[in-house]
Amino acid sequence: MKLAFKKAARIVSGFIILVLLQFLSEKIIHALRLNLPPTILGMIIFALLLNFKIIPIRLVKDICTIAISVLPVLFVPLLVGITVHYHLIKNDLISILAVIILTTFITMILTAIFVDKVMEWTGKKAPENKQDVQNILPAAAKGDKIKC
Amino acid sequence: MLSGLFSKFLYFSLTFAIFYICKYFCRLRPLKKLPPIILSGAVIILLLKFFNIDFSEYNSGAKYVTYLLGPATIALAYPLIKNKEVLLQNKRAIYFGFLFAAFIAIISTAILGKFFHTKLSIIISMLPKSVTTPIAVEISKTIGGIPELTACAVIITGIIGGLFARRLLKLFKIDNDIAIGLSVGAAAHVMGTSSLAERKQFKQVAISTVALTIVAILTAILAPVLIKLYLKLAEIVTILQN
Repeated sequence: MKLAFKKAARIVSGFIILVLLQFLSEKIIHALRLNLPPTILGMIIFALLLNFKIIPIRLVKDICTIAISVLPVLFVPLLVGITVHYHLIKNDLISILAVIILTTFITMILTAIFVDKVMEWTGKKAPENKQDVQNILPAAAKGDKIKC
Repeated sequence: MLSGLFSKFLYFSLTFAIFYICKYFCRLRPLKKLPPIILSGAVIILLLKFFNIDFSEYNSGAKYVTYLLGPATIALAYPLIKNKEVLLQNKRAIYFGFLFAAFIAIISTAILGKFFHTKLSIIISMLPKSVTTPIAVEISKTIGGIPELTACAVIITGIIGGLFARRLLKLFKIDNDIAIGLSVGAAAHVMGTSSLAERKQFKQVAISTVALTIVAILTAILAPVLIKLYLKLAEIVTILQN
């Protein structure tokens, strides 16, 4: 009972912290006329506060887990809103889809190759691989699929 | 149709109810792999059509759901801090990788969009599509895109990325955890990351989580600047052509 009460208190205070951060960052963005979404600023401030332990992690752990698990619901209304803008995209649906699919593949492959090459050049790749082999060996013995 | 507070509350709770019902059905066999967001979006669109309810009427209640996006997005800083030790190893590869991914995602969308003769407003709405939805929507608002379109583009990106990430990277013979995690997190945000989590590749998931947050922040900073450059360039090109 006491534990549940404590958890509820943590959740409520965590929620208040998140709302306050949102409010604060909106005010800052407005005052400084920055071209940045308020939530991004809020996220950066929150990350710094957590990193320097100004806000204890255990206080916000529960609310963050809840917030992240309900995130998908929160953009359902936006998805429904596409019906209002459908006339804008109905003529070039196929080209939009093509752009989305191709750029996703391009971004993914180029980034992976880039990171791979940078790691090769800085010489960090070799020990990495050794570690992988060590990790793989016991798993392979169990017959698991390791590599994706 | 219905009046006042009651209808607002109805649409607000309807959104949640339908999502959780759809989430349940998405676990069943024939619908597996279909994200609950798509199904619940489709169900709500059909319901609105069936009962002949205007979107603005629905949104009078549902906008409060969208308001909650702000605080919930701020909570994304928590997994970033939880996995922060990822940022301490392979610094050069990771930091340059983040920058590179943000650049490539924006530039490739702009170039291909131009190549396919898509309208400028649609290109701008699609620019932040590699970023996780709540942040992409915010970026879209600041750069003058259509948030609804952005949300759709992001979700399609996530589905495609999640489905093909592993096959694609295998095709290019990339087997290093950092490269896989970073590229999937940067290109296909949360949905890509969860496809890695299904395979229990925890190192990749940690890097992917960090990548998706940091690339989102970088995209928010880079996108407005790059769009200004792009519009200036387009202006110069039209002047030269004349």
